Amino acid sequence: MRIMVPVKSVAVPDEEFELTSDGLDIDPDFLDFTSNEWDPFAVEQALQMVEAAGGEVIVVTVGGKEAEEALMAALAMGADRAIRVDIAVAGFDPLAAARHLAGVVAREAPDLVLCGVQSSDAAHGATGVALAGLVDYPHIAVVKSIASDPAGYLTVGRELEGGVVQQMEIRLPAVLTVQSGINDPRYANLRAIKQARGKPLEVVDPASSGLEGAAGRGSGPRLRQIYELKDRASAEMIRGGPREVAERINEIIAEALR
Amino acid sequence: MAGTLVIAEHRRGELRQVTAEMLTALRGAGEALAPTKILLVGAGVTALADQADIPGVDEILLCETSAEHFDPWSVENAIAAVIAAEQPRLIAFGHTVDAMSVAPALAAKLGRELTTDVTALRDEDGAIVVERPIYGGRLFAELELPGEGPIVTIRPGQFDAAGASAARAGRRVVDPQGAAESSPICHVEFLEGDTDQIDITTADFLLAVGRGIGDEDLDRYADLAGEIGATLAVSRPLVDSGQATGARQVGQSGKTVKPRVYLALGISGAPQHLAGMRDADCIIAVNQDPDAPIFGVAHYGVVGDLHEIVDELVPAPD
Ligand SMILES: Cc1cc2nc3c(=O)[nH]c(=O)nc-3n(C[C@H](O)[C@H](O)[C@H](O)COP(=O)(O)OP(=O)(O)OC[C@H]3O[C@@H](n4cnc5c(N)ncnc54)[C@H](O)[C@@H]3O)c2cc1C
Ligand SMILES: Nc1ncnc2c1ncn2[C@@H]1O[C@H](COP(=O)(O)O)[C@@H](O)[C@H]1O
Repeated sequence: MRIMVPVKSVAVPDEEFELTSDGLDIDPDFLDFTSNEWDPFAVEQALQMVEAAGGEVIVVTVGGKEAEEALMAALAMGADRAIRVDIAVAGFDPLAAARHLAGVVAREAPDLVLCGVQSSDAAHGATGVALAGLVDYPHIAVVKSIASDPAGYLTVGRELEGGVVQQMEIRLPAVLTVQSGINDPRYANLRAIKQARGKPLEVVDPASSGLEGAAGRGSGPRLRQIYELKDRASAEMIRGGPREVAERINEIIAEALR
Repeated sequence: MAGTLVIAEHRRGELRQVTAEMLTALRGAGEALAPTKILLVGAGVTALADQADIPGVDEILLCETSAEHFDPWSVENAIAAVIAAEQPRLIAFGHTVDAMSVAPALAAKLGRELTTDVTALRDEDGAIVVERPIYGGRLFAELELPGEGPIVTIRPGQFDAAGASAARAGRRVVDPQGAAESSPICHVEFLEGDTDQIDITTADFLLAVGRGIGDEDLDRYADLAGEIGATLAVSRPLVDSGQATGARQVGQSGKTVKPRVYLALGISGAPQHLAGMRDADCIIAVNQDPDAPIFGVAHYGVVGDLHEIVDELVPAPD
């Protein structure tokens, strides 16, 4: 079984940050990049399935050099090889990454694509299912269990609101988006991290590699402005030292419970 | 190209509340997005038509398919056919688990723009303008949606649900084209969530802790809850890591609670968490990040290290 896992390096703003001069994004000096919270669950799931049934795990990212962070983490966990499609995608277009991933699916023809449910910075919750639409694979989002069925089907548990699970059967090849908590992602030890550096990491230029992916018909939503929650937050802020603050909390609780 | 097509969400014979919330959002956006047609897809949806008579609905479209329970494949095909026939100016879903399985693929296949988790929606001189969170809700972006018939998914709980309407909207049966072909996906069964001993939904006072407690043992907070007369609740990461059971989880995929006091320590306030607690009578949030979205719903906020504060908390009066 060939499993492709798209992974993303997400941007985490510092506690205090400044905006760029046009006011349309956070100044990159105030951003750190790390693996998207959901992606290790997808990588772990792929590794377990390939360990059980044979095959390979390919991890793919669409992004600049900083996106290799997520690829290296996945290789250290045990993925076989990595591909980076070298292009920056607009953070406001949930279809942008999917279009480039579609090119990789066309070349690699995986039996299964496992995405994360969402990315913790953009939080579109859309890339995997958009990719499925572009390559016409059956798809199910927010999957919390996967069991192999014989004969090209999987039985998956789709996590619904309120914790109810809908068990479904899906035909391969397919795209699933994997929910946190589906497994216990393995930690990569130092040796694995070193070994990861020796694994194949292919950087492809989407313009020249034939991996330009699905032609984008849209240009994505147009960003007009961004603003901080602070301006709209409703909370009455309690200030002071820890003791003062705690005393005030005690009072508020006593009042509210009276 | 006119009006809005709202995709009604229903599960096991009930229309879900987010459907009525979408109608409120659209009424707030004014005449420019009218008229509103609401689409019900699935087996037996004709029986749900009365539930879809929500203020602001101009027409109810009924698409009977053979799929008794949601499956992305048949729903997607049916919706695509209706979009082609009706040519709406805007297509609206709830930002729900069902929509996450359908809306992005539809946008991809139809070549439409997509914006998810929308928290505000309006028409400005002919432009559809939405707001959505970015960077985990620490900032919000205002976006303009170009192109024909863009698709949005609207955040559940963001708008009040409109009540039932006295007026009766027209009903129209639409053809489930394509949905009848054999689906690569089928429903097997529903499994109910955690049925544990603890019931956090009846507690008056919840002490809710999140990933902000760091490496500290959850037992420390279970003890604290006991000391101050609260019931312990948690955000999802503490369940995912096995420290707490699902019965204590507040949020979209956990429990919906409405205690008199919700004391949130080290919880950022992701939309899926807010979905479960935003209606609590008194929300007090402690977080070291002044931009944490939890402060958007809290009544009282403290910017600071939770560890410095917990030792000073005292028992609540009976
Ligand atoms: C389909 C779906 C369903 C979901 N369902 C749920 C659900 O039901 N419930 C749920 O909770 N989540 C749910 N989630 C996950 C959700 O998106 C968030 O990932 C989760 O709520 C984050 O939990 P958190 O706030 O504890 O952690 P984080 O988001 O990591 O926040 C930790 C916070 O602690 C603060 N902090 C850190 N240290 C300190 C300190 N010393 N003092 C004070 N503050 C500190 C930080 O500033 C930060 O704001 C769901 C996600 C999806 C995609
Ligand atoms: N730039 C990207 N490169 C590779 N995979 C991505 C990228 N963006 C999103 N994904 C995948 O899509 C999932 C959901 O992201 P999103 O749709 O942005 O919320 C992630 O967990 C990844 O699996």
